[in-house]
Amino acid sequence: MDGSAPPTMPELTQDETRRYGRQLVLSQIGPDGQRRLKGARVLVVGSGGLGSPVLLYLAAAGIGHLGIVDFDIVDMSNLHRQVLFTDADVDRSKTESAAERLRAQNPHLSFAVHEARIDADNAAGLVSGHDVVVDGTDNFAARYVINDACVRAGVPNVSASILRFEAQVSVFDPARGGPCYRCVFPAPPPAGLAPSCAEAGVVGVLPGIAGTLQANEVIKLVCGIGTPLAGRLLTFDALDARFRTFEVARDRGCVACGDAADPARPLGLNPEAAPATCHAAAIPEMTVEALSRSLAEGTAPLLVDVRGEAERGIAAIPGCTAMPLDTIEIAADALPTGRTILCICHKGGRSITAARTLRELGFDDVASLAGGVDAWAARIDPSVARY
Amino acid sequence: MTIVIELPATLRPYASGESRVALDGEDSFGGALDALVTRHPRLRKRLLTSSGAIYDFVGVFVNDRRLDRDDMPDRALSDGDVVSFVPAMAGG
Repeated sequence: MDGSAPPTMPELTQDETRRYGRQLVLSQIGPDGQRRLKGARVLVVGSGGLGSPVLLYLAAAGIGHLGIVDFDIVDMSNLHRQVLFTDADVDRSKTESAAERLRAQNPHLSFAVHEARIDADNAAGLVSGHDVVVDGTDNFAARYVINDACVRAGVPNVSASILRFEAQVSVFDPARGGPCYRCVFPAPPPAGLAPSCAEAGVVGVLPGIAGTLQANEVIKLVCGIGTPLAGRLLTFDALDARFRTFEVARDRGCVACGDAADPARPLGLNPEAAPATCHAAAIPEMTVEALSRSLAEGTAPLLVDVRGEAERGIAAIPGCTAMPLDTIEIAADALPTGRTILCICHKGGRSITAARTLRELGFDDVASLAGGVDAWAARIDPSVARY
Repeated sequence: MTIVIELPATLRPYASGESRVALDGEDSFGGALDALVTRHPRLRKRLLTSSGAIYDFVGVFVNDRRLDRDDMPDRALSDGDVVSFVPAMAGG
């Protein structure tokens, strides 16, 4: 959208004028801008960490029609960042829960719920009829599908992604000269090189920051104000509290938006770089009995206790190297290569996470002690405390 | 001359936690990249394909401007240049 030809500019009711008063007094928005927002149709793909703040702020701002695409149900582990939902929504459909919350927030809007996983077959139909698309998905396959559908429909794609303490935000809008997602990232990473939030973690406020930036870009695009984040990739490092802006340009050779791009050709993903499924091979587990035997025979692996100091003080297996899980990525430099590393924790959960992290770091021969120190105390050495 | 390579938080664990790696005497992108992965070998698997090319999912920027793949590895670097790697992320 360039702001010069909004699809519709419906009149505001008296209730709406009161509701949006603080926005109406902004000279950059005013009554005409608010009418553009009311006439806008925005599709939000993914109603999770990013989609939550996007939807909440776009609904509050008065975007007249919001389409919501998600196939998932609300899980308890979503609640630390997916602020659309409460405990009462656990196990409910995300789209239905979201629409219910948003209707309560702003009764002047209309919503379309699409309980579906976006893919190459349905993407064009979902994108069609919308002025702006917001990408808040959590996987590469969806990101490329959304990009390609937006490029072909000429619809701006307001995109963000998050991981751990970092976020990336941009507007991909090649119809108006900027790059598309494929121009910047031509292919997804191979499996295993890009962990998901479920594996790598994400700090809860991060999607709040990135998602509100996305909502801001949508409002700018609809109202035709400011400078859109097209041609720029904004990154945010939450630990350093540092924003960076990188210039990105359209790639004339891009298969999606380049000069020779064929709109009829299915693009898919680069087969040499399959989408990261993040389901790496299972971590092998060692029993406490096998560990006991290997210690007696002098063939034991390198034992790495990934618990914190307090827990190690309660109970421990002798001979372990201390390397708490929250520092293992950095401390792993001290570990030798070429030797089996056995990660140990209280009951065998965190040790699998630690082993997976070490594998990501290039340590191929890693394992986890099944049942952890607790199993060792119960079945091998009763002098070790159980807690 | 000295150039600086900036690493995002997602790559720092593979570079002993360093966020900025200063390299002396490297006047091309290819030379700087070689020096980087020599100093931090575990970065190689994160940045480079088996043929030694930068992965398509890793954006490379020199002084905040994107470096075209066609310009690698011969792109000349000057004293004070900052090279940034920005890998794609998919979390949402």
